[in-house]
Order: sequence, then structure tokens, then C-alpha cells
Amino acid sequence: MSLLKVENLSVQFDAGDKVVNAVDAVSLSVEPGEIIGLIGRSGSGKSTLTRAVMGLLPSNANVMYDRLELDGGVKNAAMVFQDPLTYLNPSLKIGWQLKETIRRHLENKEDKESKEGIEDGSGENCWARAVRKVQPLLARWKDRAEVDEMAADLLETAGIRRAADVLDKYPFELSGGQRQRIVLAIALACRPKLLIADEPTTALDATVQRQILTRLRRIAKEMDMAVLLVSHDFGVIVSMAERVLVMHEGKIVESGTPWQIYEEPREECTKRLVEHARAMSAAGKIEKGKCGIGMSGIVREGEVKGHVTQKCSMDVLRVEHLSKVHADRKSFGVDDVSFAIGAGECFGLAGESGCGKTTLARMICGLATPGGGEIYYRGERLASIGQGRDREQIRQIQMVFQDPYASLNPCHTVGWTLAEPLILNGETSCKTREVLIAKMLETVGLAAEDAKKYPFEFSGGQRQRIAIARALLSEPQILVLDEPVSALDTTTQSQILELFSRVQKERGLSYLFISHDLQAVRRMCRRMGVMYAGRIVELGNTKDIYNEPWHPYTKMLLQSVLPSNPRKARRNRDVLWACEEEAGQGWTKGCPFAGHCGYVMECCRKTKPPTRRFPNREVACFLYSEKHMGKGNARAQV
Amino acid sequence: MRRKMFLTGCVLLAVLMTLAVLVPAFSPYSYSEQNAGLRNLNPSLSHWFGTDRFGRDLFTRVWCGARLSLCIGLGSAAICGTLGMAFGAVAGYFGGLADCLVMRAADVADAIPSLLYVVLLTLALGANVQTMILGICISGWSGTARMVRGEVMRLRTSEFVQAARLTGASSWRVIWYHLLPNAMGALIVSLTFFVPKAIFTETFLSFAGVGIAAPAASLGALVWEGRRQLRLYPGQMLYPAFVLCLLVVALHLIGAGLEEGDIESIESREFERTI
Repeated sequence: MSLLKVENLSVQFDAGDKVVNAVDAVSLSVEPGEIIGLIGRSGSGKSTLTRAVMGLLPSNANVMYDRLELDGGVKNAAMVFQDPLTYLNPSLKIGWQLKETIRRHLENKEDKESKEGIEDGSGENCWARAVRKVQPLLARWKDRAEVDEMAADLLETAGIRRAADVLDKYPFELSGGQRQRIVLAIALACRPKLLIADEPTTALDATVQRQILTRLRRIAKEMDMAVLLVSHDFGVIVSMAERVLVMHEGKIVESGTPWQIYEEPREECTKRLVEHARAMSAAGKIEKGKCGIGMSGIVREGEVKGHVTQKCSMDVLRVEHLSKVHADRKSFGVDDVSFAIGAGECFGLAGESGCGKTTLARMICGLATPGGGEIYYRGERLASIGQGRDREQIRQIQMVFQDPYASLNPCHTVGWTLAEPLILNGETSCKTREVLIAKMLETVGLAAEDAKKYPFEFSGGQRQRIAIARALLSEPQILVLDEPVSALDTTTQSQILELFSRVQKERGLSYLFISHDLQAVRRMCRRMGVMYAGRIVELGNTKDIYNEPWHPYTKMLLQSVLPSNPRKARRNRDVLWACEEEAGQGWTKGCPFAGHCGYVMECCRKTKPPTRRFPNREVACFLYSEKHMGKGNARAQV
Repeated sequence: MRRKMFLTGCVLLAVLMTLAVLVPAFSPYSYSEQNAGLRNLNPSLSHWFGTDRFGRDLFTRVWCGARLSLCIGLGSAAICGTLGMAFGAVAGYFGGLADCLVMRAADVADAIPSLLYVVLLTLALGANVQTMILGICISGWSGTARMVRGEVMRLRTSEFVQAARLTGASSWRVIWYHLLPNAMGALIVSLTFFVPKAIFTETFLSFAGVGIAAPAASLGALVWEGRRQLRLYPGQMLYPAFVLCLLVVALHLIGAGLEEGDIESIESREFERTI
């Protein structure tokens, strides 16, 4: 018998005067112990479908179905959401939230038993009734130790090591991965037979994502639990699922094994999904001429068009020993970072969240004041905004932000937002401005009429295009892209990345491309740096780093990339994942990665490894110091 | 629901305001003219609300009072709104010393009971509408300032503000074009609630005997006057009190409607994001 059986489920939303069909006559079934992947673009109705199954939709949703059967009712199903921070109550300790669920579960069980025991309460006197009412409280007091133990057990199952410490913490004190594990533990507390995971790892870094998925897979096996995994990421689905359902515009258009979907997609939308997945992970996709330069910052002539006036041998942007201490003064946000970007180059910066990428980007743009070190633009030292960076200098370095929903002012029309950089850079004529804005909107792939609309009328990808248009209207030389595509779904991502490449070709811009998505960095950049705990641990040509990572952290990072090819995924699936818990980035005397490094040595814990420069690579690790490599080691000549 | 509340409030307020303007203008009686022969009359066709103990027409006096109360309420809301917006935005955006100075000033203004400085102001400047507004505004701006400061601090670090700074916008431009329009929804809601609060403060002051000087009378002063003869002529207190109630209810309905609209628009924005 199926665990979940859904037939002809439709969901309609009453949005004021019009009705939106979010889910359209969907049928599916889940067998016990099965892991099913549900894939589709954002807005295809995946989340609405799962919420309809759980009965979590808002009141303006109309849910209709022929059959919706969940074996044992909703109590036997649990759900894990995308954003653990909004799911957990910020003002209660983790332990309280977890134990509450466990207790509820225990009480439910006891209630059933006790109801069967005492059928008729009319005969008992008031004393007996009082005792009966107090009993659960006493039982609760007695159960304390048991519940504590269960909570610790659950956390351990979810992959948290120091469970007792974590129970006593508030959600904000934990990292994103830990929070997601706790949400998983809460979901497991009621021993569900079906776990619905709605984009459980989308908000997390690649390394953490890998750990959590591995953990989820193991738990599903051990507890014989069925999992309905919802994601827009082909890699995630393929690494987990035994059966894949493809959803498009509210309908399930295709189903099959990951292998079938990947190799022989039938529907047009599936083909597009697979194509994008392939494009993102395909090796050697870096087009020649797209990113102009190699290691030393010398432009190869002829590769970058439209750059006559500028001195070719000079770096456009150079950052030297840049540092900034965290606001809590406990650790470095950015610690002694140096690199240079050549003209027309796209320099990538990869690393997990919290490693200081965004702080670095903000310092380069002048939005934050560096704690130490210098930033040079064409040899000219830059101060931060408000401390002497003049309008001309601000104009040269522009930024595209991560969240397209937050980066546009909701109060103004798109035209107003785009006019601002023009007005402030001295374009006084209203007519000229309108023409420039219309032209720019067309450049980024929107229509000129869109200038009259407000940001809320656009989708995430369109908003990001507007944000790019705003940055480009200042006519910058350098564009800092801070996770520009991580808030978008896969198809939109590759469109935006294409737009970046096109704009770069046309205008000869330099990019600083910051992302935790290694695939995107690989696609965009010829040269890249890997950041960990505020430091650049490895720097070199993207191709070399991918083919032969030197630093242990880079190795781990590359291993955590989920391949979208099912064959590779199967090979990759059972590889022992060495580091189960994510790396904490505290204040250490030694190498910050030492606690998680398989090659850790005595010296790693005592001093920070210096950055060592090789002809095509820079790496900050004792493994590559002279002492350990010896002179004339073959690797140094790479 | 919110539309209904908002519209009811608006219609009610419009009617009250029209009456407050038209009745004193077209009434055959003056609010201050005393007539010894017509003391304490009951309501009749010529005197709709009757007359008070000096023979003045109560209908005219009530609507004159409503006009004064509205003047005080709207005037002090406008002034407090402007002051609060300016101080709150500066404190929230610049932080540090500016924040410290503005917020401590607000604490001091809040700490002194308003009765005290209204009495002093009345002595110094005379008991008129301007003094009342000034008295209410001395401490009234602090609430608005705190709210605007909070909004500005929340929005200051948001990405669209950073993007605006990268276009080369000055701090003042960022505050005026980017921060305040976004704080405006909450500000307007808080000001619509401020108007009835100001009217009540004035009523309380009149009731305490430091209100506007006779023969002019606000609604509060009329209630206070009518209270003396409550046993004999309850109408003299109840009519102004009833108009006062209507006025405050109308303003509260508008405020509540706007507030819910504000929340709903935020919710729908969030909803649009998740779906």
C-alpha cells in the first residue's frame, strides 16, 4: 500500500480579482521508504503542492482533489523548510523547541492509551479527578531525563556532535547548517514515515549541503522513512532520489529514474532543465576570450575589445593586505587579503558563507572602511565612501548585490531608480536620460516600457537585470558581483551569467565574481581565489585549481560539488564524507582550517601558514612550504 | 474589512469637519454672546443642543469647540510629524553622537510631566491654541522620532540603500529619497493615531483647568463646563462629549484601516516572495 496517494490535486489562489492556478490536477504516490525527487523551476508549484499535502496553505487557497490519502494522517508526515531561521522561534532555546515536540509526541501516545483505559470518568470523586489532572504534570517532571536523552539522541542522529551544548543555545547562535540539522531533528522527533523536504539545502554552502544530504540519506535508510525531496537543483535531486518527478507550470510533466530523465528527457521543459544542469557542470566550458588574462595581470592583446586608451600592463584593481575585524572583535572578517584584477578580467572568489567574501566586496566598493591594508584603482589609492572617495572614484567601481528583492527601492519606479546614477553623474537633460535608460533596459534584456513599472511587478531574474542596468549606467570599469545569481533558480542563473559575459565583451569590464557556487565561478572566471575564514587560501588559474587543488580546503570544497550526471553521482554518493560537522571559524592562533584538515601537522596549530607564491599558484598551507616540499619539488614547477 | 473601516472613518471625519467649519460660519448665534434671558434652555428648534448657563447657544459652541480641537490635533500632529521625522532620520542614519543627543533629548522631554510646562507656557504666552500646540509638541515628537529612527536603522543597511550610495548619492539624498518614503507608511499610521491622542491631551488639560481661556472653548473645556451642572442639565456635558467621541472614533477607524493596510501590503510582498 502506498504511503501517500494523491489524485487530481489542484490548488487555486484567489489573488484579488483573478484566480491563479498554482497546481493543476497532479497525481502522485509515494511508497514506504522511497526517496522521491520533485524538480522544477521556481514558480512551478512545487512548494504549493507540498504545502497542500501537509494542509499548510493560507486561507485564500482553494484545494481540490479526488483523493488525498496519507497513511496514518498528517501526524505521520513531517516537513523541513528552506529557511531554518524563519522556521525556528528566535526567542526560545533550541532545547525547548525540540523537547516540546518530543513531549507532544509522547503525550499523544499516552492520551490514546489512557483514553482506552478510563472510558467513563463520571463515577470518580473530585479528589480522583484532581489527581488525574495533576498526573500529566508529574509525569512530565518524571520524564525530564528521558526527554533530555531523546533530544540529545535526535540531535546526534541529525549530525550534531556536542548535542548538550547546542540544546542550551538560541537559533541565532548557530550556523545555517546547524540550524537545518536542528529542524531535521525536530521533524524526526515525531518518527514520521514521510519526510517532505522543501529545498532543504538551497540556502546552504556546497560543503554543508553535501553533509546534510548525506545525513538525510542515511537517516532515511535507517528509519525506513520515505522522503519527498523538492529542489530546483538537478545535482541535489540526482544525488538523493531513486525516482524523479518533473514539475512545470503546476503539472507533473514527466517521471522516471534520474538516469532516464538525464539521458532521455521527453518534454521540452525537462530538456531545458537538463541542458542547464549540463552547461553548469560541463568541464572546459570556459570560453576563450571571455576572460582576458592570466596570472600576472597582463592582458593578452586582441582578446579584449575596446580598450585602447588604457595601459595594458597595469592592474585595474589591486588589493594589498586588506583586513577587517568582525564587529564582535573576536575574529577576522577579512584577514590579510591581497590580489589583483587585470583589465577585462573576470576574477572569481569562492568560499562558504561567513568567510568574509561580502565584507571584502563592500570594502572594495567603499561601503565599508578597511581595518588595514590598501585598495588601489589604476595605481591610485582609494578611501572608503564618506572618507574621501570622490564621486568619480565611486562611479568606477560598482556592485551588483545578492538579493534582487532587497536591492531595489520598492517606493520608486524602475525609471526613477535608473535615473539616479545619471542625475548624480551630471546628466541634466531629462530627454537624454530617458533615451539612455531605454537603451540600457534593452541591453539587459528588458523592454523600454518597463521603466514605468515598480519593482514588485518583476520576477527575481528581471529585478537582477534592473540592478545590473543601474550599476552599468554609472559606466564603471569594475563590477563587483556579490553572489549575483545565488538567489535565482538554475535557468535564470545561466541567463544572467550569459548577460554578464555579453556585457563584459561589449564594454571590456573587469569583474570580481564572488560566489559560493563553484560551478558558476568555473564557468565565468579564468582565474580564481578560494577564501576560507577571511583568508585567500589558494589562488590560481581556475582550470588548474579544478584539475589539481592544492590546499586541503579547496579539495574538500571541490569534492562537495554535486554532479548532475547520475552515473557520477552514484560513484560519488558513497564516498566517505570525512568532515561531518561544518567548520567553525573562530579566533585561532594557527591555521583556521586545522581542526578539519586531514593533513594537520604540529605547526598548523601554532602559527598561521604564510602565503607561498609559485609561478601559477599561491597557496597558504604548510604542506607547500619549503620545509615540507623540499627544493626542486616537481609540484612547484607546475 | 480594512477598506470599510478606513472609508467609514473618512466619511465620519469629513462630516464632522464640514460641520465644524459651516456651523459657526452660518449660525445666527455667536459662540461668545451671552443672553441672561435664555439660560439653561432645553434643546429646541432654535437652539438644537439648548443653551448653557450664560445663555450661549450650545450647538454653535460645540462645533466651534470641535474646530478648535481639530486644529490642535491636526496642527500638533503635523508639527510633531515633521520634527519627529527630521530628528528620527538624523539619529537613525548617522548614529553615534547624533543618535545619542537626539534620543537623550527625547528621554528628557518624556520625563517631565506635560502638565507642568503647559501651565508655565500658558502663564508666559497666554491660553490660546498656539500655546496648546506648543505644549503638546514639546514631548509629542519623541514617539514619532523613535519610530522613524527604528525604521531608518532597519533600512539603512539594506541593499538598495547601499546601491544608492554607490550611485554617488549624498547622505541627505539617501535619507530623503530612499529611507523616508519607505518609512512613510508606518509614519502616517502613527500620526493618524497621534491626532486623537493630541485631542485627548488637550481635553485633559482643559479638564484640569489649564486649557484655552474663556469665552473660546474646545470640546474638553465644554465638557468641563457642563460637568458643573451635570445633575440638573446632563445634556450640557453629554453633547460635547458625544461629538468628541465621534471625532476620536473617526480618527481611530482611519488609523486602524491604514495600519492593517500597511501590514497587509507587507504580508503580500512576503507572500509574493515565497510563492
